[in-house]
Amino acid sequence: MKILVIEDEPEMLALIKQFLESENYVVEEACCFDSGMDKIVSYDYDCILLDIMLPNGNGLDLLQKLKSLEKADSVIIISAKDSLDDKVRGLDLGADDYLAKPFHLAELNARIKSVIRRKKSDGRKMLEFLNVKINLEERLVLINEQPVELNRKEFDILIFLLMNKNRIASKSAIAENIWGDYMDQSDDFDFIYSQIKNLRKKLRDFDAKIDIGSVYGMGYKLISKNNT
Amino acid sequence: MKLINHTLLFLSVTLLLTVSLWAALFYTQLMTHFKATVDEGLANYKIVLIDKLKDENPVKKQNVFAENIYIIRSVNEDYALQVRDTYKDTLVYSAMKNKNYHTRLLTTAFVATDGKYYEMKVISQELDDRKLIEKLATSLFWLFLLLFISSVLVNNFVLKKTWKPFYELLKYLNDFRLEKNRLHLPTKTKIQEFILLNNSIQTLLKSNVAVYNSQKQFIENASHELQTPLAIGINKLELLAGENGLSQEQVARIGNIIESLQRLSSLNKSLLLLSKIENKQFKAAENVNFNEISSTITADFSDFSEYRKIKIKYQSDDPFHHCMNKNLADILMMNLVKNAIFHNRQGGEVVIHISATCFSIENTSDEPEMDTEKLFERFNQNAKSKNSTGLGLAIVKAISDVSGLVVTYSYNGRHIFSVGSADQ
Repeated sequence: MKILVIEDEPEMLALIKQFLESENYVVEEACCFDSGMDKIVSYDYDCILLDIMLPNGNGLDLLQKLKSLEKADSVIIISAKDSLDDKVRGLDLGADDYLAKPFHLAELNARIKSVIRRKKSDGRKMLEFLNVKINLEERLVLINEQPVELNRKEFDILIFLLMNKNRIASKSAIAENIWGDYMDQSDDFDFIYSQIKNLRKKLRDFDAKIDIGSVYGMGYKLISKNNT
Repeated sequence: MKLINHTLLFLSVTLLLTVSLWAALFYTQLMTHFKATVDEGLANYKIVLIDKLKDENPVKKQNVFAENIYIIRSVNEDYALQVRDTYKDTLVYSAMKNKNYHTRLLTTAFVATDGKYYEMKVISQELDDRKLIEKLATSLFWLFLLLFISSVLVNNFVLKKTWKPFYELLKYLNDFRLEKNRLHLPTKTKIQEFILLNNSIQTLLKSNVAVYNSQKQFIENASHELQTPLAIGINKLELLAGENGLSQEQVARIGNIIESLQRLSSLNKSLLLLSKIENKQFKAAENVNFNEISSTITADFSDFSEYRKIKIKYQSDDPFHHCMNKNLADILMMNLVKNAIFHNRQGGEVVIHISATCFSIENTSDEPEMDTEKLFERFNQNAKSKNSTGLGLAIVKAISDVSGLVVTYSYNGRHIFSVGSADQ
């Protein structure tokens, strides 16, 4: 999987690169409009992370160029400007997603995965981990081939944790992902716990080989029982 | 006291004084002239009388003013020679009228043809100065009234017209709001002083607006510039927390730092949102149904409220519609509902009431009544809510202000926030 990160902030660029490499992606970087343009024109990527505020140009122009070349690269716009206009314009121009800074790396990870998955609609609708199978289209969860009933939020939490397996997903990242943008200001994320508790119980009841571990002070983490 | 009345008061006092002084002067002048005329008449009469009397032999003495208007008594030569014609005011008793009356008295002396000396006193007709004063006073009263009325009229017409630009300027300053950036001053005027005043005020306002804008710009820029380093900080810590070999306690500490940064970040987002609202960057308006919004939002918050065992009651007589930006309506409702849940007590209640003209959100709470004055100010929060940004209600207020809504707070044991259209 090859990902191009176009971002003018060197620290941010290095950070995203480090993170994505740890997720086993091949990461290319561009730090300004021109080098971004060069790479877009010359190579194909599975996903492009595009900062729209760049020195020497607007990221949206890059997006336009990309679409005019009829390339199939998925694009996720990342922007410090949480502006609705930019979001609408970006999505109109064919971006696949829009993420406002600051974001959680776990959220970025989940978005990249779902964007890539959406593009590769070649039967990879199933997410599989140990004895847990998830059909994303039908929102169906099978543990040991047995269907498990999960409500919408439990399902979404499971997907989010699964996409970020082996990482800690902070409570606020989960709240933002499942409950929406404004929930991150609700200051008290303990309400997530009741959903987690139910989900955990269901996983245990069906003898899933995965479990949700609590990381004190941070959030939750999907762990495989094989290791423990 | 209004300027017009002020000048009017001064003008009328001056008028009254001038008119009275003038009346006194006029009266003395008139009286002097009148007496002179009367005296002249007396002198003529005296000559006629003496001509008539001096040949009578002997001259008939007359002791009182009766049918004649003179008295005559004989005097010795020495006395008669030193008598000069004198005129004076005197009171004479009239038996006929049975009263004393004012008159002029001429005292003179003459020698008759028989060589005897006589003194003669002649009086004029009655001088009715009281009647004169009365007449004078009445006409002066009318004069004063006339002058007063005309000065009132002149004041009203001329002054009002003259000061019109001033009052317009006052109204303009009254209506002026720094954040609205309306700078064109009212009507042009030809009066130099007002032109100067207009210019000075324009300069003053311009510099104020410039300062205000640069402050606002500063806050916006600062918030923007903060976003990236904040994002980097949070993300680096998230990566760090995921590294192997960290103790539970270390991860918890990192979690604490992330939490603080996150709070900073949401504060930042709120500040940016506030400045966007105030800059009117949410333009698109549509007819928003608050019933729909409130049911979506209560559903969104259901996990949060269930966790805190808070019941959300929903009453609606009629749907409440208002033409505004949909996003802002969402944020407005969300902030109010969130507040109502967040500042509630465990097992409390939130009641959302919607009618055709307004909606209200009331909640139970252990917190006492809040100060209505400061409630909607930025960063006005009570100590208990250390986790909130202190901007929620400021955002609510800002949204109401730009959307033609009015938000009010009341307390009856429960905290009640009501939102209604500003037109009603």
